Amino acid sequence: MSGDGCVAIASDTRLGQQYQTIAMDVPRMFKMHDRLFLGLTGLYTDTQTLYNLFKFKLSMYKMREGREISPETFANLVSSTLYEKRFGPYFTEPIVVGLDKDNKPYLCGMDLLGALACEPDFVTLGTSTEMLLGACETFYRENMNEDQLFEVVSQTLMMATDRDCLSGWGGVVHIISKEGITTKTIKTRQD
Amino acid sequence: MESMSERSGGFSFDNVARNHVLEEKGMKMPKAAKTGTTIVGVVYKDGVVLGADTRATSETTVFEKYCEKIHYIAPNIYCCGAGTAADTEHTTAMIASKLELHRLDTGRQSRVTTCLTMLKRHLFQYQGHVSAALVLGGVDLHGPHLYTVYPHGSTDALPFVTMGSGSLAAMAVFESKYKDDMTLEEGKQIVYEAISAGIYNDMGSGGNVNLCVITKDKTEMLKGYAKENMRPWRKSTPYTFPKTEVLTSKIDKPRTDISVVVESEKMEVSAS
Amino acid sequence: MSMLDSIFGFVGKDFVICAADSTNARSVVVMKDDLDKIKVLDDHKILAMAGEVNSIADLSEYVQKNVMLYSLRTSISLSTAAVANFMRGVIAKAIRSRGGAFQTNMILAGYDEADGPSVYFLDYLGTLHKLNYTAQGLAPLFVMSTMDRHWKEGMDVDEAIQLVKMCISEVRKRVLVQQFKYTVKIVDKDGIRVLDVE
Repeated sequence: MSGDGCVAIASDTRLGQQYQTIAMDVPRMFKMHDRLFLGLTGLYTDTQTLYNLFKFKLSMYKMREGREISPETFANLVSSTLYEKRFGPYFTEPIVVGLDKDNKPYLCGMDLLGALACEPDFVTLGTSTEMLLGACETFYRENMNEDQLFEVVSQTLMMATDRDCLSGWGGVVHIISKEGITTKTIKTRQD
Repeated sequence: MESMSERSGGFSFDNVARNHVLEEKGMKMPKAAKTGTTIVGVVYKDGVVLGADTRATSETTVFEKYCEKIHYIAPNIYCCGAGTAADTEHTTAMIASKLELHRLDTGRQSRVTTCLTMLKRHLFQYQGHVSAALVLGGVDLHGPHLYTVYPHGSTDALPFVTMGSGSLAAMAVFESKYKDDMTLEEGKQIVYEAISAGIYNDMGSGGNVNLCVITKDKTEMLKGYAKENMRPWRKSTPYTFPKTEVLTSKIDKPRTDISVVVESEKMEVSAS
Repeated sequence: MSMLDSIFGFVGKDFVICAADSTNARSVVVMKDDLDKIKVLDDHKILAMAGEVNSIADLSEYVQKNVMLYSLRTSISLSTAAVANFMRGVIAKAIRSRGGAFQTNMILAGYDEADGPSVYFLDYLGTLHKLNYTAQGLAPLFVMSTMDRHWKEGMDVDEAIQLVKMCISEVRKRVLVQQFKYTVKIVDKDGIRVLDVE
């Protein structure tokens, strides 16, 4: 979700095999550089494969270009990488979130084939995407500051995961602004 | 790490076998976003008017409310896309790149028929599996052109075209109101009415009406030509929440780049 | 893939302990009841595997040989985390290949001088996660709740053996397939030992 000169990304931390919970501290959002995060939902093995792949591609990019990748360029890179597997896709849906060089927030979500959906306000993906959309539509306001953004994002996450059996068991929120990245783990229902 | 090497391009079929096995085991593939859509194009006296709605859906949920469906191909050629969102975006982007290279090679303005041929060859090669139904419009030295391209690779050249799930509603409007040699205002009005017919009568289409007017001299993108379906009300005061319980909190300051300045002697380049 | 095995493992104060049933059954026939499903990768790492026997043999031998090769080439032995990530890459690549996936779910357990004891959950798709205690096969249905309740940080060997016995009796009581004998192995700074827990 975007705010005024800042942007937040949040996810739950459950790893499950259908109804069996395997772990409750699984990271799904990965810091690609100081102003860019990649969140990956879906099949966890594809999440790990894609994270390793993008870490590699960004290192190559940094070596060649001598600078960090911008969020729009990275979103296009993710989109092309996913589209390459159009006939045998990775079972993940990514969200790319970051601040561009003018500290304006950039967010976009993609479906599993890499169709970009760049929204100015918020993007939601995962098993409880519809519930998250409903909560975000209600609570989102324009130009929130970092604290307001954190409250809205964490409450939205907790509310939506309340109604989804497959998500929950812990939540992590990252807020990216020009001062740095604030990471908070929030206390959620453990059922 | 050969699996990590950067590929040369084109589709990769690595995961197909694995995905079959996973689906047999009951793993449900996440659904791809489709653009339910109403896209139309009409030829008027001086050029072409293209129109599209702005809704992208993932089954019955709206995936993107204000999605851009009129894609740039060349300064004088634009293409509206319906079908699987990823396919339309990437196919049009690829053809746009190919045309740019072609323009650099030939040094001339791109022709709409060149673009058409590239698109239909690409789509036919994949026998309809690349699910992109397109309305291609532009103006080149031969005048205004308007074509539709179907996912299997067939094309039609017509003075007015509609594609997408709302095409029937839009075509009804065109069939009753189209006339040859319309003025710009009449052209924009008929496209607006056709897209609105799609938006209001077809579930897969919604949002705003986007128009694109292409003439010999310039192209004008009218994003949000009609914004009749905006969210009507938002609570004016913020919601107050109980304080979220935070378990851990840490702050990462951004790293500052270090720049190294080296005093060096200038290279001797003169022939003395 | 029918997973009739039960394996589980967890971390103690300065050791890891892994238990696996020793039954190899196919449909209603018990083929072998003294099968060792806990493969030794090197002096301080064990890999407990559940699933198809051919995949188990294939993957464990491949990993064993590669770990040995690395230590011969570089005279440094790999850490448990490195082996876990290497295995994840191998499995994720295999599942996309024509040869097909390795039909086996695993628990990798090891002790490193630097990092101490660690247990990794690794499934046939390539999902990797480091945990304090985990189970694969039929065991998770019964044993995860027992471990949730009784596992604690810094257990010593006796407490660990108690927990293993509790888990084994839980599985024996509830699983339809008979799982009489169990192999239990423990890894600490001195290496790998087989424990007799009955």
